[in-house]
Amino acid sequence: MVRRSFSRFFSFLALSFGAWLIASPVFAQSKVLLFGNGAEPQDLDPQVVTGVPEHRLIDALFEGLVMPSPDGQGVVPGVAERWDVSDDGLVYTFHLRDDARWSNGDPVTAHDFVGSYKRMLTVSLGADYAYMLFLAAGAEDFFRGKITDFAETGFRAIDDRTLQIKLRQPAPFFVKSLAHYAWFPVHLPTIEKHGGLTRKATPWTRPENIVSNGAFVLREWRQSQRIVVERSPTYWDRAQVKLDEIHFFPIEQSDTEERMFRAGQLHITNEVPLSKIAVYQREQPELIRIEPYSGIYFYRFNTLRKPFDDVRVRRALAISIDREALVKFITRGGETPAYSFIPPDIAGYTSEYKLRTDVAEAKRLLAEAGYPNGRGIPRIELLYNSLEKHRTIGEALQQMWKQRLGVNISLYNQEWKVYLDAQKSGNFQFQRAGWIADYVDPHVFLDLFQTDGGNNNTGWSNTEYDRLLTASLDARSEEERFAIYRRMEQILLEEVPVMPLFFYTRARLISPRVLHYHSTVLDNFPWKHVDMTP
Amino acid sequence: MTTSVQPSPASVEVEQGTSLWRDAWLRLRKNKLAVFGMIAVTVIALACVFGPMISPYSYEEMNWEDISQGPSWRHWCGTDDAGRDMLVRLLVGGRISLAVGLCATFVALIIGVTYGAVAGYVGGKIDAFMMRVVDIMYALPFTIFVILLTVFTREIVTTYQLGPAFDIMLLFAAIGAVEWLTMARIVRGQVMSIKKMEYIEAARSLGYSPLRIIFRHILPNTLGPVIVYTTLTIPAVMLLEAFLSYLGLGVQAPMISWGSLIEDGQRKMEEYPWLLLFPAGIFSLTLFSLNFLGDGLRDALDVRSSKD
Amino acid sequence: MIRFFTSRLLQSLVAMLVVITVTFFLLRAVPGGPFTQERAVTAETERALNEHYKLNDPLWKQYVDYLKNLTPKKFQPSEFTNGFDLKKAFGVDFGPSFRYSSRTVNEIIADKFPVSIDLGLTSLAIALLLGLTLGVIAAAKRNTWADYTATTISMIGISTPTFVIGPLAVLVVAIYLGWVPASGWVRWEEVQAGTQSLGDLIRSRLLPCCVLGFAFAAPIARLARSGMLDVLNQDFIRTARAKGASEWRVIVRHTLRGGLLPVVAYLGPATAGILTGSFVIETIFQIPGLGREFVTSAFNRDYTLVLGTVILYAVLIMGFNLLADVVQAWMNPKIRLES
Repeated sequence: MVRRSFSRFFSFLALSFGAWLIASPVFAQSKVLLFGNGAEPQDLDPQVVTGVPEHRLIDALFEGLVMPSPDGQGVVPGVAERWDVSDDGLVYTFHLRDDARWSNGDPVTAHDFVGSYKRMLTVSLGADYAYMLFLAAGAEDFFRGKITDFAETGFRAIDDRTLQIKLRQPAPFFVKSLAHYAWFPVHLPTIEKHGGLTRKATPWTRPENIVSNGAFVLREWRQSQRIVVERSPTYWDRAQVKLDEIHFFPIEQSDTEERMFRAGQLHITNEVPLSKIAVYQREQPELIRIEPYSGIYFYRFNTLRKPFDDVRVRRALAISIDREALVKFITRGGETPAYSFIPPDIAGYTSEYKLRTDVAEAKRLLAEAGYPNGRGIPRIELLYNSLEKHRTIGEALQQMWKQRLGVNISLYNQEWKVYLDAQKSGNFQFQRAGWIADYVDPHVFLDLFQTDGGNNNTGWSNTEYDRLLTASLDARSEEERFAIYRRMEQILLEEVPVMPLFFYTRARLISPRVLHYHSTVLDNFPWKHVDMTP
Repeated sequence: MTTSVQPSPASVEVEQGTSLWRDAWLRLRKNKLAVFGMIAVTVIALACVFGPMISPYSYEEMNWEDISQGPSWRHWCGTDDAGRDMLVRLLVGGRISLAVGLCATFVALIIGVTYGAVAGYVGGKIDAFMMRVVDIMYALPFTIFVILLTVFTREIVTTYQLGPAFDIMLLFAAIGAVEWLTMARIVRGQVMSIKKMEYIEAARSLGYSPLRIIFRHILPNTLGPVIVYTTLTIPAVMLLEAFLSYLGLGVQAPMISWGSLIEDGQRKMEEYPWLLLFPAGIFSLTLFSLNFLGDGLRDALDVRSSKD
Repeated sequence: MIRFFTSRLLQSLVAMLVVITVTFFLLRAVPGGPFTQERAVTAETERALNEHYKLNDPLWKQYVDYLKNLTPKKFQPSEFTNGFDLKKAFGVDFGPSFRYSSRTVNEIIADKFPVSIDLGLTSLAIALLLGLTLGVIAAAKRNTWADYTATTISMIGISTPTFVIGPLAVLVVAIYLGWVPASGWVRWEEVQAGTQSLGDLIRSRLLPCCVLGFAFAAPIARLARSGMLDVLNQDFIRTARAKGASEWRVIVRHTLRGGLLPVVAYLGPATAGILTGSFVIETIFQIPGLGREFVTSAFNRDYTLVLGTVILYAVLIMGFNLLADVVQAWMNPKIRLES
């Protein structure tokens, strides 16, 4: 529309002026992917970092026993060629491929894995994701200092090419969780050389020092500017790697990204500005891709404070809003309205119990709780972290509750860390929140609300729920396990300590030159499958 | 530098007394641009105060039938992406921005001018101390200061059940507290150059008190830069307000201000240009008007130029 | 003169200590710490992190340790010019960054400050050139079309924030016209190494420097105009004119020095600000400068990085305010440097 006529006028100007100014196509021959990666990574040590931008970089640089499959749902062999599971589901034996190599030529052995896990579970490293390894027998005890000999844990290198991991419970999603970088190996001699095995923050991840085992190696790391990785000459599957280089740009502003994309400086963006989504869908639908993302946007009640100590009030708020309108008019990124807590397309799990929008019922519940038409209800304040999107969603819901229930809610925003501080200390009434899965399984989401869990933050506690959570890890079949999860989800939605709003999606601009790339539900894609037209 | 120059004797000004302001007013009225500026600012301010009361629309109510409409007879300035009438949002936003802009600037003006004048006039150790304090205040991390302030405000507001007006007052205070620094440095420089002039020496020998000399004889001669810097402070303060609101200090949603409307509009300028054009337009118009008014005031108050 | 400078240096050191102390304790008073994050970590991990960064020590001890690490221990300026390394050159250690765990604050400053200086100096040159020209023309041709044009241009600069001009300039010049890249920064090293051409370097700087320069030119123009007008109305100028001096000579010889006093007072802090980078410009143009760290380090509660940037800024503020005082005294003999 406006943009078109503008650009027509200016393209005339462009042709008639200053040819020397026009940038030369530097990357014409080689396959160099320019990728918008969100934020500057905190580090590139797979055992220390926690964020999504780091995840994508580490997937390029390192390889675990298994890697995510291109469809994002399952896993495919990585360093492990194949694996066997014992009949009781407790012992996994991984057979490593003999051509797996570190970037300095060393073979990747089972001892590397065991040593890496030992490093991860050593408290002084301060690894946030150490608890991911607690699935293995003895791991938690070692971490908490109850056993000191690592040989007593379930990790064992039978020989150079055979790794055995013994679990403490069958945990059927174990192999899937191995695709998470917490389980990736690191090159111990390199780390040793640059400051010690269990010290955080050593310079071993610098381009001149790092040794890795993935499809790509690190060539350049300029903070806040770019990170360049290039194809690894030692990677076992190097023949399948299509790209010569990937340039990761740490761009936090989606507007900046979108302009770079239009100027040809990016092939894939991390996000799309909200106001541009509809424009691209209308005018250049071939460039924009919106895909599901395994995360949920929800509001959290503090069930220890009035009026949310009353389940009827929580339920009244949860069933009185129009989620369809919210995603259609406010979020506008193709999100799915959430009437349950577990995102669709997660490992074949489907939710059965769902919230039903019912304003009359909500009014009745509210009256029953002693607040007919919202009269006499204590002051409610919704806390959100400072971001335009959260503000608009808050404003829309504020209006719905006012019109439909007569309940007035005030909005309050805080800077991110102040907001987190309020969340952790329970110093809030009603709060916006979100959760993104670490691996593709419903367990990730249901695990949040166990009594006094570190991520619960609602004050809600239910003994039956806790019991089911433990039982789910012992379930022997997928059906049995999912049946337990459905029961848990129902408890959660009946008690509504949290109010689901919508499931996230991922919108990206992707150049037509990029082949075989799509966002998986975890928003990481195995780089070695990506290709580009010349 | 010529040294034989005699500036207009101080006694002349003193004798004029009250008629100085009357003369200035008469001169101001003859300045067409200044009169235009005065009228424009008044009209904008009145519209912001009374406009939302007579508008059929509400600044906060979303309307999903009217999302992102261009300007029309129904919505003169179009609607935003939640279907809210832009005109009424502009006017409501103007209340906050004008209040913050004018009040915080006034605070900064009073502190800055007094501080700078005293430091410049007294000189010596006291001046050195005062200016090092200014250096320190420049260097302290503003973002941290503001985050801390939001936390304390919240404690106080929730403990004593104070209304949102208190938040906004703190906003003025926070902005005023940082914006006076450069003003103080400018005034100090001016005062130092004026205080050695012969007519000040004369006033001093007549036994006038330092305060009288500063406020009656020196400050009127620093008005030029002071007025200009004041007109520079107003937009800075209005935009700073948007940043502070972002950090959680000051106005809370669904309240808005010009700063946040412009910030929001610039993201959407290609698709919905009116979301940027109208807020940026009224913002610029206000600043231009204030600037014309400021220039006019300066000319009107400048005794020397009246001889032309 | 020497007494003035030594006294000023001592004063500044005391002021510096106040800045460091206040910032240090302000930071600890703010809710949320460097390791506060949404995902809960185990108590053991949290303790290990706090131990590693010595956050478990009593606060006074952390403060004393920090000051000890800051104290200069040697003097080898040659090391400093060769890569900006404060630790090698003076033994000043700002400590490790909490957020970017494999880097030290010294490294981050050494990496990003030169970029900001580079951007800042170019922008400052543009700002001075444009601002002074507009201001002087406006004052000399008061109440003519030239004055009105200059005033309008500078008022546009004042009333249009950089976060509007920046994206607008990118859209028009980079995207519609395609003359320059939409963002990015080419360093001199890259030109020397031959990976980028000089043309690339100029193209990458054109927009950010002009936008930032314009933003600072506008206030300079306004202050210059008003300061000049004040002087032009004084009697000694009338005398000079009466003696038949040309208008140009009047301006250059007699008016500039006195008329630019307010500009100089403004330039002290403004230069310190422009050299330490601009958050908005660096975000819009994806420039790896220090300006973004001022804001994001506070959000990340990266204690050491906040302190490092604050100290750097404080040094510049005090330095440039001193310079401004000296220049003011040189421009107007009535102002004396007092110790």
